[in-house]
Amino acid sequence: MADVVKIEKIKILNFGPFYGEHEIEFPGDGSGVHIIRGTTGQGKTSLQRAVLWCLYGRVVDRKGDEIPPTSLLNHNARQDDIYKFGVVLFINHDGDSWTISRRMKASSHSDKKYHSGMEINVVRDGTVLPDPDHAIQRIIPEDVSRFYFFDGEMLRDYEELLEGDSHAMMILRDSIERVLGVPLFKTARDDLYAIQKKVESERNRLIRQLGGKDLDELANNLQTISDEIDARKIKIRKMQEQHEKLDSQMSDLKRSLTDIKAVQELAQKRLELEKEIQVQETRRENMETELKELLSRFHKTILLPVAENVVQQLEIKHNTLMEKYNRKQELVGKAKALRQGIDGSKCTSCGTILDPSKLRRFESELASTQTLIDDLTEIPEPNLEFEGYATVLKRMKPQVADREKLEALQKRIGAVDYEIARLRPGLTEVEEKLKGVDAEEPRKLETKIQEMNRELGRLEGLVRAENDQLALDLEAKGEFERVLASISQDEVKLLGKRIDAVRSIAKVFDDAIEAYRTERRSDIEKIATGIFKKIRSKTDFASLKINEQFGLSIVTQAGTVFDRAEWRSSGEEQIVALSLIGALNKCAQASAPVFMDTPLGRLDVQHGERVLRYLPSLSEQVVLLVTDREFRKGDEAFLDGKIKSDFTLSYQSEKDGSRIVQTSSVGG
Amino acid sequence: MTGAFGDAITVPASQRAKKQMKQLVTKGIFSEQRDVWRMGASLGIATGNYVASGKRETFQNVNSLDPDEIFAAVMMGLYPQAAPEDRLKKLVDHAEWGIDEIFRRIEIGTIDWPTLGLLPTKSGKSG
Repeated sequence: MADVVKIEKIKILNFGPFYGEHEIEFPGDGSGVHIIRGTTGQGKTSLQRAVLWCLYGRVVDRKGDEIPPTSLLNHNARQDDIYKFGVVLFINHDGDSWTISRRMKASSHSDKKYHSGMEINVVRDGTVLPDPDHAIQRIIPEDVSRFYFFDGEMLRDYEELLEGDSHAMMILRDSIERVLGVPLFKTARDDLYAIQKKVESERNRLIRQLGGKDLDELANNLQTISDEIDARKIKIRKMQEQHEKLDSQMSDLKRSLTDIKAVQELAQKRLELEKEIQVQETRRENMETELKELLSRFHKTILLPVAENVVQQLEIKHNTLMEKYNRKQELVGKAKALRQGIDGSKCTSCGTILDPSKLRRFESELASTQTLIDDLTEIPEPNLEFEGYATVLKRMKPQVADREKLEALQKRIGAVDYEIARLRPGLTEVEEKLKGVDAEEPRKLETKIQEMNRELGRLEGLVRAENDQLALDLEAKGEFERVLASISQDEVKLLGKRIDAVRSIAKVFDDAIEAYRTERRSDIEKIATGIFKKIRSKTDFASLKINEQFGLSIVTQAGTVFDRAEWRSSGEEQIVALSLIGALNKCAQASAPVFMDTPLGRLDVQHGERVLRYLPSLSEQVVLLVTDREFRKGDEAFLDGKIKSDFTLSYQSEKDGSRIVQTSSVGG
Repeated sequence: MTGAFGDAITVPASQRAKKQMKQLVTKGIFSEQRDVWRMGASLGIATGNYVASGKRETFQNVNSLDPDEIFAAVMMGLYPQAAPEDRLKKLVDHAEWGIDEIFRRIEIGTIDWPTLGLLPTKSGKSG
């Protein structure tokens, strides 16, 4: 490659989140890999936009809309009534030092005032270049800048290349052809057609000069048919443009419809999640009821050890009381019998007549029995209270709630709570996505798409009819030209030969363009496959296959071709897009620095590592604008020692905005 | 049976305990306040903790709180010599401590029903 462009230094003034003057200097001539770190909102994308704005005087947002100058000025500068911002790039182009300086200043904060106050200045080795914008376009054309300065989040655009013939696809395909140098051939071919037309007009003029009614009529007819052919070609091109525009609009509508259908899928998912959560909540409610029931009996479980002890105490008390009571009853009976014996002087059990000595013994025994009875007088009538309470507590035992059952229930409740907690964030996320969705929108879009389809059909019919007519016109023109060939006048013959020669050469160029395209497509397919094999993780994916529009599909070991419909994984999309960009950089006519914003955002760790290993070979200068999430501690090792500098973008405060801090530098 | 609690018809409770019982029912942890009271009383008895002081007011009938006379039986077994009114007061003291303890554990998220009352839980709040 002849042209090598590298950025050595970037100076920024009041641009985006950067208030005041800031500078990034890449060591040496800027070669190698440079890391610029920053979390979301620190200014990574703004830094890339600053470079693009300096080069081309305009930048677009992620939707492709141009960002107005009033939005590019730093917020604090505006607060301080400073209406100027600018970027200076110090570039090395094949050993020449270039300084590209673009500034905007305005007397008030309005887009119009800024546009009128834009200044661009390009100096090459100390010489101010007269046409700065043209000079920039010559070293890094804006058309191809998307392959050098890109946003990882926007890599999805490359899927367009697999999408039929959408307008976006055609713009992208033209950019790719521009990188590959195809337009050079096209320009040459178009120049030849212009020459052909000029010589044809010259020949007609000459024929008229020859005089004679027949020749004059022939010349007129030839001129008329040539004009008609030109007019018809313009008409066909206009209809094709209209077709492309309509087709592009329809692609947008189809995409919206797909998005809405995705939303409908989300709505279905919401229903399913709600149902699942409802089921879990009902289960939880039932378990809560079960838990409450267990808890209402759980006091008995807690009391059980105490109760068992109390039962023993109560039974002892009861038994002691009963023993005393029975003893008293026995003594009362005995005293009664003794008293009866004494009264009747006769033993009540054997009937023996009591002599005085026996009588005295009876009286003595009665007295001691009475003493024992008197000792037991405090024993009340049989009291069953203790026995009753003991029975209550004994009955309680089977009623206690099982601690193990309670533990199992708590585990089940915990599992349901976990399940609900797992499902809820998903539901919240889906609900967030569904906010403000019009249920009628899909139907409206489908109607519009049908109308557009009809209009496209009508246009296609018209183009077909015009093309048929064009073929007839060309045939008629050929007929006139055959008559012209019979004119013996030398000068006319000579012009005729020149026309034939130019036409032949133009045909050669037409064929060459197609041959060159085919050859470059094959090169890109080969190089992209090589890159893809380095960064893929699924070994089932054997290679990439290129289509007419430079779109790449994955080919499996078994030969199955996967295009975007089957990829499903955004990581795979990103890897294929990176393979294409890598191949384009290798095949490009010029080499420019590659700035990648959030390049690994959609990749898993494994793919991220593979891509990092490949990046140093993507271009002579690679600048990675990364978050700490995608470029983690230790990832530096994958870049094979090619890191030449490491910067961190750090947001200070609302007042100070973001700053660029250099954390390390190698070489220089 | 003449009754472990004599002629007492109602069981008193402090305002704090009543508020705590109400909150635990409102939170959906217990079905009824009497379930909290029974659980608190059991916990106080099982662990030997009680709160003896503080103003109390009417809470619920003895028969509602102790329909199967479990508490009457236990208190009779534990305090056979006490006068019925003292026995009831002792039960209420245990319940006051237990309710407060359950509420506290639920508040700080350390309640573990299956092991509740298994280990002796002595607090300084007694007497």
